This record gives sequence, C-alpha cells and structure tokens, in this order.
Amino acid sequence: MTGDASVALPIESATLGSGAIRPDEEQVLINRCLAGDAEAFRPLVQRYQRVTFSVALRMLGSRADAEDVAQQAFADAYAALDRFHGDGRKRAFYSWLLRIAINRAKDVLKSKKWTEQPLSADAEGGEAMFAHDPGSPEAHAGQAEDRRRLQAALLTLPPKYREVLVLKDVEGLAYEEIRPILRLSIPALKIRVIRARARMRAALEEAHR
Amino acid sequence: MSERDQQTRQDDELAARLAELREVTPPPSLVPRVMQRIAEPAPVTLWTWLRRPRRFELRLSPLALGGLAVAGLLLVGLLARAPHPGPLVSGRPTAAAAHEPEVVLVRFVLVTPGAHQVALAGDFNGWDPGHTLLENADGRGTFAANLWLPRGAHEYMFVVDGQWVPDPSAPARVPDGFGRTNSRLWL
Repeated sequence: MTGDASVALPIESATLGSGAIRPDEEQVLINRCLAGDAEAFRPLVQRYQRVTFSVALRMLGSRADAEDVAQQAFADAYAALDRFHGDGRKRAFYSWLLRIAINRAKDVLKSKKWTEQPLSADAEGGEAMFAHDPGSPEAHAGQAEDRRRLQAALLTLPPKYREVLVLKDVEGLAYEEIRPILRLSIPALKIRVIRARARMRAALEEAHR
Repeated sequence: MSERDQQTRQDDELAARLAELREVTPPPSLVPRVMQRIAEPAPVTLWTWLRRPRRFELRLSPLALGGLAVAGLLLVGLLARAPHPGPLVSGRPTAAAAHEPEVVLVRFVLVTPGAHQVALAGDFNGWDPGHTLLENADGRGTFAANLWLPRGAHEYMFVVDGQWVPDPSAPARVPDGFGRTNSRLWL
C-alpha cells in the first residue's frame, strides 16, 4: 500500500473531464512549451495524469512502476513536443501521450518479463476511497475484491490483449481513438478486443475455480 | 437467447466490470515530479547536441578584431593571387590582366567604438584623408572599406576623427620620417 491511499478526489477530476482545457488551448500550451515556457506543460500533466497513470497501472499492476512510467511518458512527451503534430485533430495530444505511456509500460514488461512473474498485489492496495461513494464498508470490501480479481486476471493476459482491454473497456475509448494509439486498423482492433475479452473471461473463470 | 446474444451480454458485463478499474487516483507526487523532471536539463546525446539551436556571441577586443581584420586582409590577398575570372579585375584592365591580376581587393577594418569618422590615407591615395572614408559597417564602431590596390608594398594610416593612427594590427610598421610610424602591408 502506498502512502497516498487517503487522498480523495472528486470523481470529476479523477476522470478525463472536458471542461479543463479546450483542444485548441492544448495547442497554445504546447506552443508555449516549445517557446521555452516549461510551466505551460503543467495544465497538460494535470489534465492527463489520471488516464496516463491508470493505463500504466493496469498494464503493470504496480502503483510504483505505474508512477515511474507515467512520469517517463510525460517527460518523453515534453522532450518530443517539437515532433508532435496535432494538426487540429480532436484529442491528438491525448492519443499521442497514451501511445507513449503504453510503449513505456511495454518496455517495463519486456525488461522485467512480468508476464512470467507472480502478480503484484499492490495495484488495488493504494486505491483511494472516493468522497462521494456512499457504499458500506462491506460493499467497499466486495468492490475492492472484485477489482483485485479483475486486475489479477488482466495481468495474466499477453500485453497485446491487456493494452486493448485497458483502452477499450477500462478507459472506455472508442475504436477511432484507439486506432492511432495502437496503430491497428479498426477491424483488427475489433477482432483483438473479442479475443482479449474471451481470454479475460477464461482467466476470471480459472481464478474462480 | 442465441449464442451470439449471450456473448454480447457477457462482453457488456465484462466491459462494465472493467470500467470500475478506471477509478484511480494518481499519486499527488506525480505532477510535481514531472514538472521537476522537465525543468532539469535533458541528458545531452550527440544527436540532441547536433540538433540544438545555439546562439554565438563573439566578443573581441579592438586589438584582437584588428588582428582578425589583418588576417582577413592577408587571406584576401592570398586568394586574390589565384587566377580570377573577369569580375575581380573588371573595370581595372591591365596589360597583364589576362594572366595574373595586378590589382587585389583588400578590405580594411578598424574597430573604434565612439568614433564618428574614419578615413584611410596611404600611398595609394596620395595620403589624402578625405579620399577614402570607411563605412561604420555595424553601426557600433566597426569601420570598413574595400579597396583595389596594386600588388606590392603599401604604407597607410587610419585617420580617426582627424587623428592619424596606425593600424594596431598591421603586419608591419615603418618610420614615416617625421617621428611617427606608418602601417605597412604587402600584396
């Protein structure tokens, strides 16, 4: 369990909201960064920290490694801003950042060969309890247990299935949004999602026995 | 319920359960650490070093700049020794122009910030201080002029706001016979 377990955020700021920065404002912030104003990067980090950390966490299963990967992804994105071409596309920076985060997470998986290691137990240990959540302690315990089972099953999947489930089902991205991140055609993505869900169900059933 | 419908329902249920994993709170240290990292100078690789735009600022004392000017002058002289196509000597036809130019383009430079007028006087213009005025090339006291000069030795002096001064970086100085020294160059 990490030390930030007691941190509570309203759900609006814990999910990817749409009101904080408009897409055109993102390009303005990026231009300011390119002009040497590093502080202009802060709103982008604040806006995308949750999704970047979440994707890394679900890929790796460890909050510590997820934070490292999220940090690295933001740092890499900042260093490569001159090569980012949003061209006015909707959520272009978001897609680009997630692609970097996914790749960094896969680098960690390759370096540690985590697919062959016992599952990390700290993915759910550091979860915050949300202030708005009215559930009972028993309900919380049940939800936490379900999350642990899901995360454990997710970690048994090969990375190519894990990443597509994280983006499609965990983060709820549309196929059009996933396509530039994983650089797969939409038919190929749909097939991969079907197979990933089948593998996930099998993993959950296996764990239930 | 068909098998397809059943699978769709199972997929929807699984997606709904997985969506619960979305509720994640990133560590509060994430934003400050990222900002700290990007504020640190990036490790310099050869490629980033080569690609990095850079600004050069050259600060030279008048003496050093004068030295450079003379070096440039000599270089021009040396280059001019090579056979030139027409333009270098055009307008100054000489009997030997077809073989070897007998005139050489020379650039005189004197850095003297604060001066208003700098002239060049020498044996090539009858020592007339009003004949060859140098242009304040950068507006900050770098006075320069280009002159075509015949090959051979030449003596000259700068005239700065009416004061005769030798070229501080001339290749040589020779007495002028009146208690002062002239600058001398060879072409």
